[in-house]
Amino acid sequence: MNATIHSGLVYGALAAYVAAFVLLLVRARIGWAAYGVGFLLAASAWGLRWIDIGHAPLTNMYEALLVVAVVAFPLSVLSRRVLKVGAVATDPLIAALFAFPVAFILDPTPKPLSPAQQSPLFVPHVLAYMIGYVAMAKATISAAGCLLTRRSDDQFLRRDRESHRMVCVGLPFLTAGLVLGAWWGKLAWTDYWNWDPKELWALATWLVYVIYLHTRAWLPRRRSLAAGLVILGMAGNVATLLAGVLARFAGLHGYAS
Amino acid sequence: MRVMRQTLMAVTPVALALLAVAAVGGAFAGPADSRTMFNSIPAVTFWVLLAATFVAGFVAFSALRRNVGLAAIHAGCLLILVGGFLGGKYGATLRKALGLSDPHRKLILINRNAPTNRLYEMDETSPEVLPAGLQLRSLRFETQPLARWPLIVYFSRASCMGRPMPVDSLVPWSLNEWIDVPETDVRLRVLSHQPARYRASNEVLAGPVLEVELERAGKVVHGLLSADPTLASSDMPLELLFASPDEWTFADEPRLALQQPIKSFLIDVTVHEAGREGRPETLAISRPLRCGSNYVYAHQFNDIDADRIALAVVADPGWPVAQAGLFLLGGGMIVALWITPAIRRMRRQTTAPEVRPKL
Repeated sequence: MNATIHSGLVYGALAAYVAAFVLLLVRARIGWAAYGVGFLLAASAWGLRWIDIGHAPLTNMYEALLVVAVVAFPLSVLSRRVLKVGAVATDPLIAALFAFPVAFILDPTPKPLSPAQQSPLFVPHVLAYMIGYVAMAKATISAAGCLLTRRSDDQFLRRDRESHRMVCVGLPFLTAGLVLGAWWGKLAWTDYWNWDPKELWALATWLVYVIYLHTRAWLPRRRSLAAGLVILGMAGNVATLLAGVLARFAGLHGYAS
Repeated sequence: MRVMRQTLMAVTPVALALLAVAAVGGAFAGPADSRTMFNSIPAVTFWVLLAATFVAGFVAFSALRRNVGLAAIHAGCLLILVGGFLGGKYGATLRKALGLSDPHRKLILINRNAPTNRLYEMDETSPEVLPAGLQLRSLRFETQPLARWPLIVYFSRASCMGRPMPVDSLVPWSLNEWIDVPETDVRLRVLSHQPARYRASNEVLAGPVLEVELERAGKVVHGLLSADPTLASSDMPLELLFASPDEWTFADEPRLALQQPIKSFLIDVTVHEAGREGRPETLAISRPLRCGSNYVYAHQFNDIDADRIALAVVADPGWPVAQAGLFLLGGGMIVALWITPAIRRMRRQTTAPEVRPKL
């Protein structure tokens, strides 16, 4: 019964996010309402899952992507109100893109927590990454907009600035994920770095964002190059998420594949 | 100094890009090959040069020294590199040459009868000892209270470098439905299922048992698949018991098992330190026991018999340095990218009315 309600909530959230994307382009107020409804449905689905399985639902890709669909809304509110970053219409699209595999592709069978996952570092490690991914997805949309705009246009500078702000929001989360993962690895697997495929993808992605910040400091006028690096970084994030599939063996992160 | 600054600004992104490309290559190569690749002499030379650029950055850029966040990030990265070096193969050689303690991965064999601090390296006794004696009190397992335990197939796949890598795959099953066993030409059907029964503490009292039918090239055999609750680790393959074992077996093939999902395993020990009374401690997988500069891990433990178990003992002199580096890196990111810009924004907002002309 709970599984049926849960699926209904996920489908509802996906539909609300798609509707919010369309409505935000036409009527902002109604669009925000639909976005909020999508968030409430996705958050309810995640909460129900938590009650159902008895631990924080972050043990597999299904649950991790559901979290991404949940955190998209609070991050949109934060970026609009505090950081003054626009491009809000595409935010529910990001949430919908992550909610789509949850609704239609991924296996919802819950997995029990392995002994190693029963660590207080597990939830913040995964959660930090998921929040980081949403921030970087938003930065990528601004960067893509930047590349598609003429350099003489005011929009070009605005999008570049927005992209930079979102990278500055997301990078500490990715770093926190990396640091917490290293600490957890030392406690559980004897080493803080295990050369696991997911670890290496995460490192490569983190380095791309560090190169981006370096490039902005070194060559402040090469904004197109910087935008390209943000897009490359997002490709790295996707590869990190799918590392188990890409590397053909999942290593220590096998539970996440 | 200007040339040095420009060179550093140009070299750093290139070095980081090289590292990113190597990391992607390592992700495809697999953990064992990556470890070898990143600890090879060219890689160690690269790490040393990278550490040198951090030091040069501190010297060349006064802004880097003044900005707390940026300074913490760079110092953190430098410490992580130093920590990694100290804990690695070449760091061990250097420490040995300097007569300092050696980083090691050893074993300790603890038993119920008497405390021991003797360490072992493979089958040989090691000259090192733990600063405290350990005595086993009890070994406890708890299994997940699942109605249906999953089937699991263990097999090996070649990595991109051609080495065999152990892989496992969970097989979803339903009663009386034929399912393909991954990596084999075998089909399987569960005929009946005796679920596991538990004690209040989640310990398995009986079961689970699956009565299965396996089919290969038109030939069908019956078998019982059971999970032995006394087996130690969840990744240990369990035996598939065939009714007619001579017909065909899984020798040198993927092994099929009923996975025993372990919820936790706890090792109760008494720590005997010189001149002190025995202190009770419990080891769990994410809770190693610290003994001086050594960590005793429940991970990869081996229960030899009911009264003796072998535990991994790791001493990594680089870990405290790397730990400080990780802390500085994480904290530095927050200071540089969140706190400093927020303070700047607040200052701008508070000073803005004074500088802004009244309309």
